[in-house]
Amino acid sequence: MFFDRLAMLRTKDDVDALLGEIDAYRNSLYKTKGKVQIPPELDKLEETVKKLEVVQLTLAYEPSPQDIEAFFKAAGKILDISKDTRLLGGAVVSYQGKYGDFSVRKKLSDA
Amino acid sequence: MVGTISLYLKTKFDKRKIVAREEEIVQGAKRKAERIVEEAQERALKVLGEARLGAENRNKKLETRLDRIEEKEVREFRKTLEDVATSVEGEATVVVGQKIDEEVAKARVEIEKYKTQKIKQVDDSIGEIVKETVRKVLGKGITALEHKDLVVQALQEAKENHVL
Repeated sequence: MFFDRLAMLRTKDDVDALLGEIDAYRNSLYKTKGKVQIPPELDKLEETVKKLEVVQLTLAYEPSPQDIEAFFKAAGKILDISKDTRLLGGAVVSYQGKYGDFSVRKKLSDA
Repeated sequence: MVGTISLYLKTKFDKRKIVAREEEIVQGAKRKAERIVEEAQERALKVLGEARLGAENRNKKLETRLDRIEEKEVREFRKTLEDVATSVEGEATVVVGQKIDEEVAKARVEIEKYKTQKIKQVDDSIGEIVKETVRKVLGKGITALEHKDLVVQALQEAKENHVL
C-alpha cells in the first residue's frame, strides 16, 4: 500500500506523512504481533523516501493541488513550500545550498 | 750836614734808580711773559687749527666712507627687498592660483556629488512610488492562474541559472 504512495509524493509534507505512516505501521506490527519480520521492502521504501531530493520553494500565495502538480513537474523534485506574500509573485528557490530569488518583488527592485 | 744831605740825596737817587731799574726789569719780564703767552696762544691756535682741519678732513673722509657704505647697504637692501618681494609675489601668485584651482575643483566635485545625490534621491523616490503602486496593484490583481504561471516561470529560471 505504501509503494503506490511513492509515485504520488509531491511535497515535503507528503514525504513526512508517508514516513510517519511507515513508522506507525511498523510500531503497530510490534504491538499486535510481537516481534515480527518487517518486510524488507518497507525499509527500502523508507530509505528511498528519505533520499528524495527536496527543493525549498517560497511562494506569494497558497497553491492548489493542481498548482503543486505543475510545480512538481517543472522542478522534478519534492517541494518544500512556504508562503511569503511580500514576494508578490514568482518564487524564491533554494536547493542544495544554492539560492535564487525569482520573485516579482526582486524583479521590481532590479528594475 | 751837607754830607748827610748829599748822602741822603744820593741814597734817594740810587733808590730811584733802583726802583726804575726794577720797573724796567718788571716791565721787561712782563713784556717777555706777554710775548711768551702770545706765542703760546698762537701755537695753540695753530695746533687747534691744524687739529680742527685734520678732524674736519677725517670727518669728511669718514662721512664719505659712511655715505658710500650707506649707499651700498641701501642699494643691497633695496635689491634684496626687491628680490624678496618679487619672489614672494611670484610664490604668492602661484600659491593663490593653486589654491583657487583647488577650491574650484573641490567645489565642482561637491556640486557634482550633490547633484548626483539629489538625482538619485529623485530617482529613488520615483522608483519607490512606482514600485509601491505596482506592489499594491499586483498584490490585489494577480489571479491564482497568473501566480501559478509566475512560479512555473520562476522554476524555469532557476534551472537556467543552475539553482535547480
